[in-house]
Amino acid sequence: MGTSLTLAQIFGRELEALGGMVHEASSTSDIVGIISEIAAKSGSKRIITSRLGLENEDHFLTELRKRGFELTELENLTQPRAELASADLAVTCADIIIASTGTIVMTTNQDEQRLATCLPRVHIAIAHSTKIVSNPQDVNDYVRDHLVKDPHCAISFISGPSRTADIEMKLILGVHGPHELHVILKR
Amino acid sequence: MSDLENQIESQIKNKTQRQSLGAAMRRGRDGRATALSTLKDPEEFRNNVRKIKEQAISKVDQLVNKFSSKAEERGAKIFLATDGASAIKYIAEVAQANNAKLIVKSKSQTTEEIELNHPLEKLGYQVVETDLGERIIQLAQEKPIHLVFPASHKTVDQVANIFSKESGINIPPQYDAIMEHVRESLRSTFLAADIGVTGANIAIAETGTLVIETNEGNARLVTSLPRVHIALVGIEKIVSTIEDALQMIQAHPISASGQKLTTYVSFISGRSPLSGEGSPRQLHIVILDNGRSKMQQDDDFREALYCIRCGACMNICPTYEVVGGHVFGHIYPGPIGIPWTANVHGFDKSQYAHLCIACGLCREMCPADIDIPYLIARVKQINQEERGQSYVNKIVMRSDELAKFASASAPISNWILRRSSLRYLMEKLTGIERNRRLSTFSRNTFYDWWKKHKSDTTSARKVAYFVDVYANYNRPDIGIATVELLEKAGVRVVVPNQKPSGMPYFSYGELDKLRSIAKFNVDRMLPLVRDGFEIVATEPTATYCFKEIYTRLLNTDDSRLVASHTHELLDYLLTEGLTTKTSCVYSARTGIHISCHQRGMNMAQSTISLMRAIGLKVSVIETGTCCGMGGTFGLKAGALGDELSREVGKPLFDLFKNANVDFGLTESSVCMMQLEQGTGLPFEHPVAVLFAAVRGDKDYVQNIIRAQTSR
Repeated sequence: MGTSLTLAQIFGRELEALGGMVHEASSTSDIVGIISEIAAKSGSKRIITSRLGLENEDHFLTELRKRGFELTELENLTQPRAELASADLAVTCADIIIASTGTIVMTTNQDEQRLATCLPRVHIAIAHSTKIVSNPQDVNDYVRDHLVKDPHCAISFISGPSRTADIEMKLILGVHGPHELHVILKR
Repeated sequence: MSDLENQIESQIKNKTQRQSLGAAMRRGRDGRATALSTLKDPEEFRNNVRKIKEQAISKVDQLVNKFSSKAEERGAKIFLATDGASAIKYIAEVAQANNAKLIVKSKSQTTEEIELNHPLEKLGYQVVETDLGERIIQLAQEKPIHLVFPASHKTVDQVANIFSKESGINIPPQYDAIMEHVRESLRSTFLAADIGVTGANIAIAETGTLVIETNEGNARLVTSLPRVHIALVGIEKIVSTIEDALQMIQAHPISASGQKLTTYVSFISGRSPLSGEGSPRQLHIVILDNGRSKMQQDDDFREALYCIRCGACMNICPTYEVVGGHVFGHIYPGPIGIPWTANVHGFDKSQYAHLCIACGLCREMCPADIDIPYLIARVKQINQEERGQSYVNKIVMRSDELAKFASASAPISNWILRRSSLRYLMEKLTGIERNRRLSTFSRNTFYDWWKKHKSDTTSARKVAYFVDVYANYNRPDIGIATVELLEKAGVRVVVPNQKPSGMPYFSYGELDKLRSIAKFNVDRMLPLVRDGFEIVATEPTATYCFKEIYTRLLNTDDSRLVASHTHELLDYLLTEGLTTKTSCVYSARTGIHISCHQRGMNMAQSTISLMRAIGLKVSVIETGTCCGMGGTFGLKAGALGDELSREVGKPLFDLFKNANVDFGLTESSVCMMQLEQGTGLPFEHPVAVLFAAVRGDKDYVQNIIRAQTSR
């Protein structure tokens, strides 16, 4: 009698098994709340955000600033390497989600965008809950479209926080990349 | 004593390494098994990997061209390197042209293959490995011990010491403290680096894209911070399409560690740099041949190019577990490392091939279904053609003739084989270990019995019995039991002319001799099979020879036809519904050892069912690898034989000793020799026990148990 899980539930189960966290949001103010909570818990002050495509993104930014965070938009960085390296938390979006592997997928031809998901200790990705597929093979068209359209793009699959087991096979999170990966599923 | 033997001796003493390496291997094995169990169709998965690699390698020249032109269209510079030296020269030139000082690297076996770091350091560049395991190895000035887990032999204390010494800071031996130190100290290195060097797990021909998989995220930093990115890619990494690549990103981690995907998978083509910071980033792709094209043209070694570098084969290799990748390897370690080393570093570097005991488990594990045991046998063959065969190998390869002689001269031969002074002499003369307890020889052979045996069975069901050595010279009762069990079930039995299976020739690389034996046996069995006979054997290795080895060596439809009609006796009896009513049951506890060759054929389940059906409490006792005997390997005196063999077997011996069983069961005659001596328990062949139950010999099992205690 298998109760079948939705793709979002499968994604949640898989990502959490990898040490990531999934949150659900139905409004911009939900997202502000979730980000604030993650930031407070992780002691993050300096936050970098990329373009998120939210309905009222300016309002979103103002709300976050109101809560005392030091907020910089990715496109306004003057010294991207240094600023990204000293940021505590980055918010980006994900284009597609792969349920069975707990993976978020994103594409960019900007290093800043990529480094935002590499350098800070906390990475929050916002994804649309309709943009979800079952298996890695299902992103074939997505990968093809981007590789054909943009000769300089880099596509990243991310499944959980940075991890290593190189010392005595003991799992350690956050060697080089983020210690925490949060995915906010937007309804 | 040879170098290799000295190294084996010192590794046998290195218990810490064995423990930590063993833990890494178990984790790899278990992770893979769990991940495979979640797949809808693990066999299909394996077939897909095989197919992708087969297709890509068959047209590798075409893919190199396609990949190169597509990558160039995206702004990458391509350099085709015929060997390591030309690759190093090109990379050094790029570094010089860019006035580089600091080079950061993410993990790449291919850069290890060409030993890139040293020459660059000699030229004055600072080269920093950024994968944690590789960094540990770099600072310890060692080579990776494992393809996937390069520093798995180091303890947390050793690692803390290594980083403390390097930094001058006292770093406590705690995982998190080490991780924080590495993160912080390498951050500034990343930010200051001029060049990033990576390998690639996959290169996609149709788009000119590199795919890089990591868990730590270091390759993402290596490819997006420095001004120059250099990727070193072996030609065998190129696949045709995006679809292929999406299959491979799953195949790698499932087989390596049991992950579904690595944490990070990056698809990189020609890329633009940080906005507003200088000119576009250079991407140099060095495509490395270094012996690969020659492998591709070789009908046998081509298969080694299907390797996806997952390390699964070394996770199950019994002798690798004891000696580790520094002894069982040159730069490429483990089973698949043997053909790779021979082809890219030279056959003189592949002497460690003798560590392979031909258990065949690596093939069972390989996600690309590479016939690794055969490739290793080919390396051994080429090695022995160049350097000659060792004397002891020549002796043990003729063990069937020796068995014939020992049987004819029994019981004197048995008396001699139990005299330690004479065994000492024999060891000096032959190289056969004096403390190895050999199976007793029987003066009356199975054939003596068979010649006089009359049968009136006229059933349409017909079986040809492949007797091999043990059931003839040592335990004719097993041969007799086989015939009786079959005839009682109404099966007509014949014993065709045959030669012993010849497995030792495989173990020591005498493939031409084995091929003629294979041909002899297949030619004798073929007319029978065509006439409706099935072939049964009571020695798992004999069945394995027919099914795996003869088919590979002969590569004919005839050999495959014979193979498909070859069975282990008990599996045949049970699956064909030919079991006879037994007259008694036994109440004893037994542990069963399934030989490696049997595991590959998945036939042991029938044995277990049949033994349970006669009342025995059966538990399967396994470490996950081999008992260590390796056929005749354990007979040989010294480190490259008996000593290593017993060291491999120890964990299994301990499991048996602690299993609270009255006796052991195994169908392999050589495993039996190893386990009887290693565990001190009596062992028996399941066919003999089943036949005793059919005969109604109520005390049979108790007698086995008692005989051993009184020994």
